[in-house]
Amino acid sequence: MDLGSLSTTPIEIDQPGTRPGTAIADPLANTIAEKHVVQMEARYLGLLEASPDGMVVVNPSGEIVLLNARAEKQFGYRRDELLGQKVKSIIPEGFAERLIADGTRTAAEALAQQIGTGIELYGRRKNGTEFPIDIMLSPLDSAEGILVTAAIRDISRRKDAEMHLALTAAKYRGLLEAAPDAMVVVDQAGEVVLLNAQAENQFGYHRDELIGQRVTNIIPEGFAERLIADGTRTAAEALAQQIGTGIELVGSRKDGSEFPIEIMLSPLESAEGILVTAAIRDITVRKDAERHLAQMEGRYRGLLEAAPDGMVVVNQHGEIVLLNAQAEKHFGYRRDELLGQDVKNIIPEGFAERLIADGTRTAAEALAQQIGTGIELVGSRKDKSEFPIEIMLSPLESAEGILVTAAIRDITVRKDEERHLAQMEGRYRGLLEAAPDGMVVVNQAGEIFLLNAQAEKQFGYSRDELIGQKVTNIIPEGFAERLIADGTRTAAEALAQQIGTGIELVGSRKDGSEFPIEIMLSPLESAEGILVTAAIRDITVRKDAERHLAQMEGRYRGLLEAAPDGMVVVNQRGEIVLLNAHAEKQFRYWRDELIGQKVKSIIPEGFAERLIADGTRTAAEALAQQIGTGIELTGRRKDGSEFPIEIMLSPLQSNEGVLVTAAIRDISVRKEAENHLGQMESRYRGLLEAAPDGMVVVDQNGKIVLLNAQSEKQFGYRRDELIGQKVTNIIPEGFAERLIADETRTAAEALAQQIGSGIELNGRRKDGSEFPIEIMLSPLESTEGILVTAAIRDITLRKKAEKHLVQMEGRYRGLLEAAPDGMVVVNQHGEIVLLNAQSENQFGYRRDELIGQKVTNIIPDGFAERLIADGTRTAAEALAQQIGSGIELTGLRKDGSEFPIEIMLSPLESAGEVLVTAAIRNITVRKEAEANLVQKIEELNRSNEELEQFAYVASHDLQEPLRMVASYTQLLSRRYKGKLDSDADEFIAFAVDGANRMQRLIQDLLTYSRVGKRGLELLDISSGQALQRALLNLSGAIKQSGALITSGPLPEVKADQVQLTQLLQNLVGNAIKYHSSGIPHIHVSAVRNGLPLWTFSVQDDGLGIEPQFFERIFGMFQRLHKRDEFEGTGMGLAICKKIVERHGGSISVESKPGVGSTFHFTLAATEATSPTPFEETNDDTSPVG
Amino acid sequence: MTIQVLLVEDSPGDVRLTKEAFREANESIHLHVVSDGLEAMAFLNRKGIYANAERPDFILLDLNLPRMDGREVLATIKGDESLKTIPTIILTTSDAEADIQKSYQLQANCYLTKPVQLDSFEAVVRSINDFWLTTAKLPQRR
Repeated sequence: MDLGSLSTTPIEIDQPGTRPGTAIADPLANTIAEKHVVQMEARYLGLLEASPDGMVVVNPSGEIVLLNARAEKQFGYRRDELLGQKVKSIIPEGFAERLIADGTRTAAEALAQQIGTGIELYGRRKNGTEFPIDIMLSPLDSAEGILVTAAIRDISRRKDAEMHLALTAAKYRGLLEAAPDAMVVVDQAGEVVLLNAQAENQFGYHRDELIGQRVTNIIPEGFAERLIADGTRTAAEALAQQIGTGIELVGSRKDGSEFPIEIMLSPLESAEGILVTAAIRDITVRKDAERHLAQMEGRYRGLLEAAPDGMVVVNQHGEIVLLNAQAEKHFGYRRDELLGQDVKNIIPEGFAERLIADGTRTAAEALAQQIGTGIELVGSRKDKSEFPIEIMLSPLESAEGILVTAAIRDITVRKDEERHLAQMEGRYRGLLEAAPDGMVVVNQAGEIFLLNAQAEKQFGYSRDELIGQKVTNIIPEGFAERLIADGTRTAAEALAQQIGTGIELVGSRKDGSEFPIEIMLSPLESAEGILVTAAIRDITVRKDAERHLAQMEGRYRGLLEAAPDGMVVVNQRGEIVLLNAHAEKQFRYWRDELIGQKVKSIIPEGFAERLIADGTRTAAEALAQQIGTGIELTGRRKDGSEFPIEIMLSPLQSNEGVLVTAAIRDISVRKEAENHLGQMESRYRGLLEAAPDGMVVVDQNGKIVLLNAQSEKQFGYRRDELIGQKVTNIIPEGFAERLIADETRTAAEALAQQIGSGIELNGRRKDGSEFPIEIMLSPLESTEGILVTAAIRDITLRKKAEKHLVQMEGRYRGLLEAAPDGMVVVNQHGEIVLLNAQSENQFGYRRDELIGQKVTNIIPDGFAERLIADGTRTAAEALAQQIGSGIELTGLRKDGSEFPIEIMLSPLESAGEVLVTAAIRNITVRKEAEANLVQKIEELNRSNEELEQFAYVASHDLQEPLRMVASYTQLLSRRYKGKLDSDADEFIAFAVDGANRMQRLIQDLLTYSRVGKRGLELLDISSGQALQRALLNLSGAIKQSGALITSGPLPEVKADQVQLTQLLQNLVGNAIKYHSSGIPHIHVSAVRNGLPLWTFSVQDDGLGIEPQFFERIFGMFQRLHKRDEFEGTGMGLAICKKIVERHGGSISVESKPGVGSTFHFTLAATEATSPTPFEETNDDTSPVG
Repeated sequence: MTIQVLLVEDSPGDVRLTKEAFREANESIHLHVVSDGLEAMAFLNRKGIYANAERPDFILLDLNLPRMDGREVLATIKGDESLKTIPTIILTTSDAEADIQKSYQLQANCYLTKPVQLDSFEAVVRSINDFWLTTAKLPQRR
């Protein structure tokens, strides 16, 4: 509180006693005024006491007239100790003086000068201690004059603070001045309050030019804003946000130039409020450096990013600090996934280790060792796959220490190539070493680069003696030159010209010896440029061969030309490769017209074909087959005319394969002669060969000169075995003698005697056996003299026949005479040529009475006809039809009586005639017997028929009255049952039962009687179907008994369909009826035991039958059981038996009581050989309806 | 409407049985009986005592009859223009194939064998009734 709150107006202090603000007035006014003053005074006193400052009022004399409690406290006095005292006691100096009116001014003026200002003075306490004070004077008009009120403030603390402040300010200023950075302190208004020398330098101002100026003068933007307290934050908050951060701004110098600065703000509390200290750093250089760095960094990053290799920078801890896009790609990571990660993540082994600073070396040394070398390692991708890498390390000094930059190259492809190359190299080396030829690889400089073992051998060097050496060492001439790149062509072109051709050169061995070689060049691209691979072949042998060949060729050509025959040499394609002058003449061609032509032009057929290699043989084989044989062919001249030639082939091995040399001889003349001779000869031979008899031509010496095939056959010789031989070899006796010219006659005469007659002699075969022959001789004039042709006929058969005939004749006559039957031999004319005694007896004739007579005299009908050759058949055929069968005819005796005969005919060939021998048997007795039999049978049949007729009629006619009895007793039973007494019922029941049984018996009898004659014809039927029908008929019984009926395959048989059904029905029915407990199992089957018969079996598992009854059960009315056990008429099996026997079969039974029975019966099979299948039947599946 | 049936049967026992059986089967059947072939023809031709005889709708004919055999009767009936339309069934004890053949050849409308058993016989009669006299359409009397 200052005194300003008091309403006092300064008045002139010269007028003492004037009370402020009052005027003398009337008493009433005074009272009010007095009250007012008292009031005011009280208020004034209150205020005074309450004031926080010490309040001392001093009169113009400088005496304290008033003071408050505070002042008491301040100065340590009691009020009454101070009132009236000089103020100097408490404020020694400074106060009083200020109040003195002196010559220059009045006290009022003096005071006026002080009013409002805080005056710093010293206060003195009671105890004598001093303390600084700040007084504020203000006048106070009073009656005593102008008083001075001094508000006294103890400013000890402030003074201390000020001192401290001054200290720190000094310190601060010291720092400030000393700071490297410019320091500028700005107040809340944004004015600079302080700055240091550095700031002066930075901004180019004097201190006083800046203090009090807006800081925006030197930092146009960015600073003031940051400090502004605005609606959103206070200056303090604004500042707080900036504290600690270096803020980059732009400074503006006095000369207007700008430069980059970084300011660090910090608050400074002061009396003036919060000041902001800004430490300003001129960052021009840094900025430049940064820019440069940024630039470099940009450039560097660019390079890094652009680098083809992955670039990874690793720190000393092995952590990745930097990597480029390529590295990202290589390893499949994003940059941020790798930065800070251990490089081991991407290069598991080999990298980190190399960088480790360990006991032996520092990381730097470790790195230094790696610098510059490409190290092959394995990279590990994000997906865990690995790939080969090559890293090049280089150090990078940085603030973080030495970093290692690794340029990482993915060498997968290179590795593959290396592998492939190694493989190829291996392979190649293998090939090289394995090559049969010497292989030498030469570089462009003509130096041997590579060679194989074979080359070593060829040239007698070891590999290392040759590698690097000039190839001219081993191939003196011809190789290097061919490869030289010269003005006209490059090495590659030079090489290209050589490629593919075998070049003959001379090789030079280590020992100096030379040998012919053939080289084949081929290019080989390599890192070192084009290399030449030469395959070197030692052609010494070949050269020798060539030389030899040339020699031979010369010799040969000589021979060829000198040959008397035409010589033509043909190659495998049939082309003429060589011919001689003679051949030219023969074929009338010039040599050059034929060489290269197909040999077919001169020998159209026969030559080329013989040489053709086809599927079956090679040309060589084909040729081999021809070698040595003179082959007759036809040659064709240039003019087209043909002439016969004979060629002799021989092979000629050559480079071109097997050539064929043909020596060709013109055989025209010879051919003509041959032809003529051949003609004659063939004519003659024709005749000879065609002759049915053997023809042998014998010369005067008795040697066989000619013979035909027939004679070969006759004597069992081959022609060549006989020609030249003595005829006595084949005709031991009788021939040669006849021909000998002896003293009695000439050969001719001898011969003449023989001519025309057939002479029987003996021929001797090759095997020594003899045979009868008949020969007819005739002469043959020839150059060799008179030859004798003998036609030789093998008369073995004839002789045999004759012999046989004689034999047979004898035998026959014997048999004939001895035969029990009459024997008559008849010729084709039906005339008796022979007969025996028995036939004489039979017919009552003498032999001579019958011989020559027609056989119809004794056998009027039936014989002759059978023998007649007529339009439809020959006598032989006619006879053949009769042979073997006994023919019943009638014989006629001399006395005219007839008798029954049976004749058996047989043929008899004799002397070209077919005779018939008839054995004639008198069958009178037999005939009688037969007649008897027939009669008996007829009687039997008749009686059978009568019997059956009777049975039929009986049954049929019995049925009628029986029906009456049965039907009416049933009606009775039906209508009157229960109406009469029980006896009547019983009686009626018996009657009905009897009638029914009678009916069944009669039915069965009827069936039985019908089996024989009234059955159907026996046809081929299916027994399977018959069984089906039988089962159908038995369906009721089957259902009732639950019987299971099965069957095997059942055949076709010759049978009466109805009866077979009946048969099976009876047998199966029986099997069902006579069952034991449980379900009856019945099986029907058929087997065939080779004969044309089927044996059927009906097998059951029923009661069985005791053996003693096996026969009886097939009899009529035979029953084995009582009527109340099983019903039945006892006819069933009798009917079965009759049916089976009617079919020509037999029936039987096998049985074991308690086990079951099997009934067997046989039936004739049909032509079909296998049974037709029949489905298995049982109760469930037997068809109904 | 009554059906007029002519039964030609010589065995009185069989006649009675047949009558009984038809009576059981169908009460509206009127059975006329003659016992030989001649009487049968007289009946059909309305001769003599049969001058007023009804023309039968249906004829049951036995084969083995005295005087005029059933086969003859059949032949005559089927040879008569006016009579041949009457369905004529052979009802006989014979099951001989020859008889069957002959009957059909003579144009019998049906051939039935009299079963031996009574109930079978009754069944046959029933079936005659069921088929011929109930199901089948008979020509109207003219």
